[in-house]
Amino acid sequence: MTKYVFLARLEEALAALDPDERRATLQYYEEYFEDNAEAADTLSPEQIAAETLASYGIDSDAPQKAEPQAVSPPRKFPVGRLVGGILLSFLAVTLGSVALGMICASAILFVVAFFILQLSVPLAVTVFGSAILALGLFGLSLGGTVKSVKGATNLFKNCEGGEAA
Amino acid sequence: MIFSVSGSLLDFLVLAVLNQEDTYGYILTQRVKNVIEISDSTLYPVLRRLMKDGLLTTYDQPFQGRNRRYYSITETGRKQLALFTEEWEHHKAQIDFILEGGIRHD
Repeated sequence: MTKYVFLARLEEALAALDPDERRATLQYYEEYFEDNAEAADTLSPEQIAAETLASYGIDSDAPQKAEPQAVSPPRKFPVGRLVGGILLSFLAVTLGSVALGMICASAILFVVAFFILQLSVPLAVTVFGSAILALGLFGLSLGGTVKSVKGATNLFKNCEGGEAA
Repeated sequence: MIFSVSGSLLDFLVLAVLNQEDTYGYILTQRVKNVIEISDSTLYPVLRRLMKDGLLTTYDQPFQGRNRRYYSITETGRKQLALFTEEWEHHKAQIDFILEGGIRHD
């Protein structure tokens, strides 16, 4: 449409607006069309009016804040990870001690079983069985220690990385 | 443009362009169009709001027998631009951080 038709329709559509604001809006677009006449073909006066009225409607209720919105959440220190890491470290130490104790006990029991063999076979068998049991417990606690160490290391490493889980 | 540009980011761009020099509605729209896809009517509400918040002023200059309204950044507008720039740098760093798989290159 021609810019004159456009501006006439825009003026009508802005009837609800304050006269000064309406004049300012019309002036802006009249000027705009001087430099870019094709815009009068691509734009819709009713749509511009709706957008303009909406922006005035929002503004008249509350002043717009000048401060920019936060664009990202505040960085938090991942306390959860740190505490988890410490707990797993304690667990690792505990299980590690148990493993150490078990392997020693197992070794001692094997030796004792060997010696008792000359005194009493059934007793030796019992002690030998205990030695195997201790060996098994050593294996379990060693596995647990390794897992705890891995887990703790992971958590501590990820503390460095950034946001809390 | 894949990422939508609206609100604060538009304010930021307008202030940045006007910080370089005063200009009028059509040229301002063209400059912003170089960077992002906007319609011919996008900037008017932005300019009006920035004026209302005291970040811009206007003055008229006659041109070939008619009027041209120029927009000019104020001191308050410059301060806001500095705030925006700082936030933008931080935002960029956060995005890059995620793109690099959460590993910091200190």
